[in-house]
Order: sequence, then structure tokens, then C-alpha cells
Amino acid sequence: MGMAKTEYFAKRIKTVHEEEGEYRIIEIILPDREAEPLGQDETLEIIGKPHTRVEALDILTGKAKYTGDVMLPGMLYSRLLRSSKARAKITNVDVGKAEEMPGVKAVYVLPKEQVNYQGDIIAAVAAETEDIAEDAMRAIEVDYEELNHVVNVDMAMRSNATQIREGGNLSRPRTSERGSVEEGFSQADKIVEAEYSTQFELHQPLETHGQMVHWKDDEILYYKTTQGVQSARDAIVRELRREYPDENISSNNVRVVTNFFGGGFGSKLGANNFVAVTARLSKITNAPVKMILNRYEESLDTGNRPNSVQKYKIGVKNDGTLTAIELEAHGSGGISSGNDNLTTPTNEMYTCPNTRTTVGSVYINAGNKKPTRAPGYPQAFFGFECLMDEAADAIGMDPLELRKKNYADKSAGGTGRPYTSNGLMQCYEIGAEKIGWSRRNKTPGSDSGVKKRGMGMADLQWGGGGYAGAVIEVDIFKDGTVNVRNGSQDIGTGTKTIMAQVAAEELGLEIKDINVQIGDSNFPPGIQSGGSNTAASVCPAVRNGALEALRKLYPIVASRFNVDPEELESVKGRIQVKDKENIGMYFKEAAALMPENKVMGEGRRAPNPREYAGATFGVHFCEVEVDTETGLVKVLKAAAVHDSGRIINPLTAHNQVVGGVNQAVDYALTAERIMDNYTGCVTNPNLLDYKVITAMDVPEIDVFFVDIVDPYWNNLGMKGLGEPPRIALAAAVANAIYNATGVRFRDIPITPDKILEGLAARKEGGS
Amino acid sequence: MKNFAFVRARSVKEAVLSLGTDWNEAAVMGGGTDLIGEMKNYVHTPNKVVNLRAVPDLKYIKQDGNLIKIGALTSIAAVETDTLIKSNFAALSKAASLVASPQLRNMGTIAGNICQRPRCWYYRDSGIECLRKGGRLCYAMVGENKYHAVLGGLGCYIVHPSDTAVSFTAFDAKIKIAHPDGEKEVNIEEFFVLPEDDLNRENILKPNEIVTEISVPIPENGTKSTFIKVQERGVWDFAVAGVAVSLKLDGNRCDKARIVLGAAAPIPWRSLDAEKELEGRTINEETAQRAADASVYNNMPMTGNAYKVQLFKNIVKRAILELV
Repeated sequence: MGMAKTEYFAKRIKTVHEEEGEYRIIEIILPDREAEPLGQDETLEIIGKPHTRVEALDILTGKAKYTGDVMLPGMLYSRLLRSSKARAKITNVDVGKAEEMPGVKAVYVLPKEQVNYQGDIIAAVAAETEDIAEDAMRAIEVDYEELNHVVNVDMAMRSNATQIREGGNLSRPRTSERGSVEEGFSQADKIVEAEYSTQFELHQPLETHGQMVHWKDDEILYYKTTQGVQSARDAIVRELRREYPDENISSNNVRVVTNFFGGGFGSKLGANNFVAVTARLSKITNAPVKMILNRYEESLDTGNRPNSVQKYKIGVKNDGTLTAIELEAHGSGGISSGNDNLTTPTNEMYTCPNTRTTVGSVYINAGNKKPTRAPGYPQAFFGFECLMDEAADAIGMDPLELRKKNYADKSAGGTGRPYTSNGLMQCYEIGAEKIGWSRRNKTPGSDSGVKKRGMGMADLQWGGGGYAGAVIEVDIFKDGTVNVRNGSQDIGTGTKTIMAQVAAEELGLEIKDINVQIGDSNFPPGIQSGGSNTAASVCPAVRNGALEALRKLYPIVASRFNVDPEELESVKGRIQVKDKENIGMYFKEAAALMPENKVMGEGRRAPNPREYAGATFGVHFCEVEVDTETGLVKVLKAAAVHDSGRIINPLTAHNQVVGGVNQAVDYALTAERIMDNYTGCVTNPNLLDYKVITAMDVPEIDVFFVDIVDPYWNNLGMKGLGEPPRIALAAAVANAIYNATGVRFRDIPITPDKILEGLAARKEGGS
Repeated sequence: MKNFAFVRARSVKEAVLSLGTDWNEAAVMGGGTDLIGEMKNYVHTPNKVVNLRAVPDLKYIKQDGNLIKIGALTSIAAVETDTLIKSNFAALSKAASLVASPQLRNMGTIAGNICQRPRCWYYRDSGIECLRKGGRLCYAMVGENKYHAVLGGLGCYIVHPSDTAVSFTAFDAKIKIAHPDGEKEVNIEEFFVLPEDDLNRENILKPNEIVTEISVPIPENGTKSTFIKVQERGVWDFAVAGVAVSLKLDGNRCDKARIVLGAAAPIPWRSLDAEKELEGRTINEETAQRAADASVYNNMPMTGNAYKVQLFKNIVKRAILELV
């Protein structure tokens, strides 16, 4: 009798795939067998314990080779000529002088008639040294015919503004509505209206973007700074095919490698706009070509977080019940991208049946946006969580109590599917205690003296993190060593380490026994490092892969002891009958008995449950000190409490939160891309004037995880953590400044000029 | 960075003779922390760099009679930690301690610090031909000017970036300058120049002149001083506003005052009006406030920097009251 079709062929299922706030339906292959979910009370050896990153020593000793460190024989260096104008027609590009310079191997001018922002790529040079390439790049003469530009969002929106693109400077706003806000407002005791705005933020990873491309006959090899080796591969294949229709360019001969990665925060998703030109230089010169951007280019043309202007109206009853929320917002993603999603806190965060959101985007002559650590969320949560504070103020309620009152256990503001878990209540309790919430000024601004202290808080929410699609190959070799391979990459969060932890736990081995291989597009299907998805996508599949490999090993052991393979377990380096230490053998002995030189387990991840919504939650509290004479704000302490499900590695998770809090401190206080209206140029494309905070500005940070093992989300009960720590703190800081001074600052970054002017205005107002 | 010839001068004489008379031809390098940045950004593209590091006897802090003399190549870190300077010139020690970052204070020299080029972002953009670089327009006047001058700008609205120069001015330092024909010494207030006198340079140095020494008279008994720097982040930032105050006190009565503002004007800005408010008077909340108000007399803020006027008043008052 033949095998039934459904058993012979892989089972496929449709599932919702969420990435960067976008949802689409994808079809995935179901795992053959899903590992038993690990519950809250499971005793685990390695998962849940702190471990330094497996590559930490290599990084600290310089042994780790980042993209910029890669050297290939005969390699050339490349520089890009970029537009110094914000908007201009290119009438002529003269490369004569550049081509004549000794050491210059190729000069290529992009077929482009017009540049649309400062930093737009015009031409590229390949030369024997980086200095020669730079000199040659500067020797290229460009004739521009300047056109009117618009780099300021307010100015772009004016009716008499120069329209910088076909279809105009404004997109049609997207509106969504739930219930009836009119009815909701009519039920409210108080209605609060306020407008908030946020700046353009740059990613500024430590490692700038770059790549080394070698176009050989049979392979196009990219060493690349990318958050997705496989998504970059796919994009590169598409782009090169377009440019070289006659060449053999396919997924099987384009290879992207990212061995070590120095930060991306979203800017290194996808392929970037210089992938094809480097390949072209490599093809022309028949040599490997390295192109590493400098900080100036990094600041102009590798993406940014859009600005935002958010007008809110919120209705609240005297007991704190929210009756309606309305949001009208816009922001700019630069020259061709739309705006970020700004609606989540309004629509999702709290129980509220009536909401209406209208979000538009504005186009300006500046570099495109790229997803920036929690795209849209730091903007939207800044506005919304300040609004909640103002609403609490209006009804004379503790801001923390107002949030508790509106806790949502279902998505869509309490109207949708139930959450798999929502640990906010526990988060509130821990956070309030750690910051000493009861010590805060009961009357805002009542702290006497020149330096005033205050406390604030803000909630956060992000997607659950993780989806099906990754395939993990777990190899057990005859000598008992283990490889875990996958086409994901480590964005710097410790992906390799947690994969090793999960594999070691499942195989009953130690971390040192596991070699995790990632960062190569030729490896099995991976996940791009975005949306806080990697950990919770990959780790559950690692479990299944390890189990699959063990299932190929167990029969060998079972036959020796004459037991059923199903009775076996692999713990503490031994394969044995469950709970019977004396019936079994060492893992290494079992591996040595394998007839093959290795067995391979293929692990997939089950889809997220359909009947539930998944989300991560958290709350950030902080205490600030405002120097009312200098306008300087110091964040003294932050208490960041997160519900991200089971924490696989508390050490790397802790680091993740600390990093997010720090980025949020400069988002709140110092960092902003500033553009000059007249020249259309960025005034601060460097790390001196674009003020990321320094070690001296880092607050004391208390990090806590409520460590609720999610009962439904995946077989490890884990959720995402990459982006959540970045979302809430700016609002908490602004709320704390209000608590300290009694003055509301609704526009970030809250720099000394704004503080001094705000305090002076209140003085004049006499309040 | 554009290719350049590198001259390792062995003496002051060799250095000034190597420099020549054209700013664009040669540049002098002490610690290099400012020059290299300018060269990497193509703001300054000299054909020759004359390095002073091998010149002997330019690195010292010593007492000579009533003077403390500081060699040009002395690191900012050494000025920060030197006990002679700490005990006599608290405002200088403090200013040095707030310069940039520890690494930059180790590399940067004291003469280089007072001879820094402006940090104005239009000046630092090689694509922009501003007034200071020989162009026709001060872009800050119509542009992004929250860090720019509220005093003394005329045509060009840079602020002088040096913290230590502000304190040196409060102590009546003298600057020794070597040139091909010998050397000269000028009062620090004659050393710095306003845009109305020279649009392109911040001091009187000619292309073939270098600072070799800064000497500071030991203050009279009863003199106390302090320095306040407002910077937007805790380290590695230029001043949004700074002030050095040096007061000779008899009890709380002020006999002599020096009040110098940093990041207020294209030069360290000595405020005679503020000093007058204090001299001969008892220092208290009221006189301090009067001096603070007077310190920004004649200010002319632009679109984005009016807040600095109040900021200066606040820190001048704070600095004065810190000393009594």
C-alpha cells in the first residue's frame, strides 16, 4: 500500500506574518513534530541562565572580522560621489581628471538626471587605495542646475510650497476608525487636546554601512553589513538582474556573508542603494571592491526615523475610563518613503471602544527613512503616553492608576482577540516599587530649589515577535560535536549565544559543545533581524531541529539496550532511558556508533496561534533632575520592566534593555537631525553635532523581566525584546520633567533652549 | 584626506620658516585633534603639515617669579591636573577638565586649544563657502543658529570654541608668539580678533607665526576663581555657554573682578560692564544679579539663540555666588 499523499508531502499552512508593523499572509511548512512546550515550572539547565556571548572573546581581542576588516587579494577601494545639492538637475559629469589619476581603476557615473537630496549618489570610483579613491571622487566635476528644494516639513505642507515630486508633497492620509468617537466624546467628563512633535532621528550604528563585493565568473560574493543575509541576497539578485539582464545572476550564485555585525537598528535591513554600483565596479575591474561608508555618508543616506506631528483628542470619565481617542498625525520619510505607523498606542494600548486615526506623510528633499528600532513606536508612544499623563492630570488621578484602570487583556483596545499573555500589571508593581513612585511630587513643580526633581512613567507595547519560516539544521557529527546552522545573522543582540543555549539544553550538552553557524545566505532559511523577530522565530525551531537530530540518533542507542527510542532522553551529556541513569551511554559514545559521519535534524517553527494576539509589554519609570538655570536635564534613574515572555539569556536581555534606554535618553534630550532650509543640507552629519549620549549621561538603569512564560506563543514561551526597550522612555522623561517643573514640553528633543524658554513663558504667564 | 608633505620641525625657528606666508600652503600641528578633523573633512587642505611634536622644550608648566609659564605643547590634561595651576587658577584647571574628552585632552595641546578653528557647522561643511572661508554669506544668520554668537558677531556669528581661552582671559594671560624674525608677546585680549577686524581668522597669528608659550601672572592674595560650562551632554561637547569668573575679595567685598563669557562671541568675551557692577561692592544675590544682567549688555540674538542671553545671566550669577 502506498503512503498517503498527505503524509508523503510536507504539510503546509497559511499563517499571518508580521514584520515592521506590516502584516501579510504567508504559507509555511509545518514542523513534522513540535517539541513539547516548556512551561513556567520547567527545570532548565542552560535556558534562562546568564551567559556571555559565545563570540565575546573574539570581539574583545580583535579576532572577529567585521565587514570592514575583510581583506581579499587584489582588492580595490571605492568611494561614492554624492550630491552636495538638495535638488538639482545634473547637466554634466566630467570624469576626465579622475580617470587620469594614477591608481584609479574605474569611474562609473550613474544614469541619473536629477538629484533629490544631499547625499544622493552620482558616481563611484574604484582605486588601489582608499585615499586615491577619495581624491579621484573629489576630482569628478559635476555641473548642477539647481532647483528649488524643500527640507522642512511645515514648509512642504504649505499650499504655496514647491512641489518636489509628481503627485505633490503630501500623500493621501490613511484613516481608520473603530466605534464612534463622537459618541465616545459625548460620554466623557473631560476632554484633553494636545499636540506633540518628534524629531528626525538617525540610526548611527557604531559600524557604518559597507560591503566588499567580488564578482567572479561563477559567484558574486558579498561581505556585507546587513541585518538579513538572505533578504539582502534576494534584493541583490533582483537589482543585478535588472542592471545585467544578460548575465547569470541567481539565488544560487549570489552569496551574502555577514560574520560580525556592528549595529544596524533597522538601517541595514534589505540591500541599500549602493549594492549594485559596487558590483558593477567589481565587474569592470575584475577585482574585489570594498566600499565602506564614512560617518558623513552614514548620516545622510542610510535612513532615518521620520519626524512626527501628532494632534490628539482624548475623552476620559472622572473614574479614568477612556471613552474616545482621536489622532491626526503626519510625518516625513524623506524623498520617496511614506510615514511610519503611528496608530498603535491609540488603537491597541488601552481599553477604549472608540478611536479614529488619520495619518499622512509629507515628502521633502532628504534621505529616505528606514525602519528605525521600533518604527513609529517611539514617536507615537511619546505623544500618546504624554497625553495619558495630561489626561490623568485633568481628572486628578495618579497617572499609574489611569493606566491600570484601562488595562487591556484583548487586542484592538479590548475589542479583538485575547492576548496570549499581558504582564503589564506585574510590570507596574515592580517598576513603581523600584523607582519609588510614592516619592514623586504630588503637585508638579513643587520641588523647591534651582535643581528640581521629578518622576514620570510610560507604557510600551510591541508585536509578539517571531513567526514561522526559519529552518534550522542541527548536525550531530560522529565525534559527538554539534553544528547548528541557519541563514539568520547576529545583529549584536546575542542570537548565536541563545541558539547555542537552546540547542545545548535540548541535546543535554553544554554551550561549548555547540558551534552555531549563521550569517551566510547559503545556510538554511533564516529570519532577517528586524521587528524583534529573530530570537522567537529561531529558538523554537532550534528545539525542533535538535529533537529531529536526536530522533535519528536514538534508535542506535535503543537497539543496544533493547528499549523503545521514545523512552530515551538526552541529559547531561548522556543518552539514557528517561529517569534511569544506569541504562544509557555518553552522547559521544552514541555518536561514535553512527554509521554515517553525521546526522542532520531539520527544525521548523510552528505558526503563531490564530485564536490569540501576541504582544510584548513593558513600562519605563524614570527620575530626572532639571537644572532650571541651565536648562540641562539629567536622567538620574530609569526602571525598565518588561514582559517579553521567557528570557533565554538574562545577561544579553539585560544589555538589550540598557541599550534601548540609552538610545531613548538621547531621543528625549539631545539627538536630532538638523537641516538647513536655505542650503538644503544636514548641518550635523557627524557624531559631535548629532548628539548621541555619552557614558557620562547614562542613568542608573534597573532592568527587570517579569519572566512570564507565554502559554501559547511558541514552544519556548518566549517573545521579542529587540525593540521594546526603545519605545517608552522619552515619554517617561517628558512626564518626569513636567512632574519636576510643572511645565509641559511636547516637542522632543527637550534641549536647554526649550527648557529655558518654557520656564520663562510660565513665569511670564504668572502660573 | 588630501596628500600633503609632512615636516617634522626640530626647532621653533625651523617650524616658522617651514610655514611660509600662505594659509592654504602650510598648517601647523600640535596635538592634531582639530587640524586632522579639518583635513579629513576637506575644510582645510594644506599641502604641507608642520608638526611641532619633535620641537624640544615646549612642554612645561613652571613658575618664573610672579608668572606661571605654560609651554605650547603642554597637554590639556597636564594643565587640568597640575597643582600649581589648581592652586592659583582654579577656573583654568576646571576649564581644562571640561574640554572634550579624556582622550582628546591627552592628545590636545594648550596652544592648540586656544588656537582652535570655529565649530560653526557651516564653516565645518566643506561644501559651503561661508563668509569666514572667503564666501559672501554668513549662513548662520539666516539658518540654524542655536549655538551661535549673541555678542560681538558682525557679519560672522561664530563663537570661539576654546574653554581654556576663556579662563586665560580672566587671568590676564600673555601669549608669546614666534615668527621668522624672533618673538613677541601680546596680552591675550589683543590676541583674539573680532570679525569686524578680520573676517577669516580668530586671532592675530600670521601664517608663519606660532604660539610658543602662555604665561599667567599669579593672582593677588584673596583671589578666587571658577568656571562653568554648559554642555548638552556630559562629555565630548563644546560649550553652549561658558563663563570664567575671577574675583579678588576682601571678605565679601570685591576689589577686582574679571568676568569672561565663552561661546558667547567670536572671541572670549570679557564683560567690563559686569565687572564694574562688582568692583568696590559687596557680593550678594542682588549685586550678582546686576552683574549677570550687565554681562550680556548689547546682546543681539538671532532667530534661534535668544535663550543663550538668559542662560548667560544665569551662569554668571551662579559663578559669582559660588565664590563667596
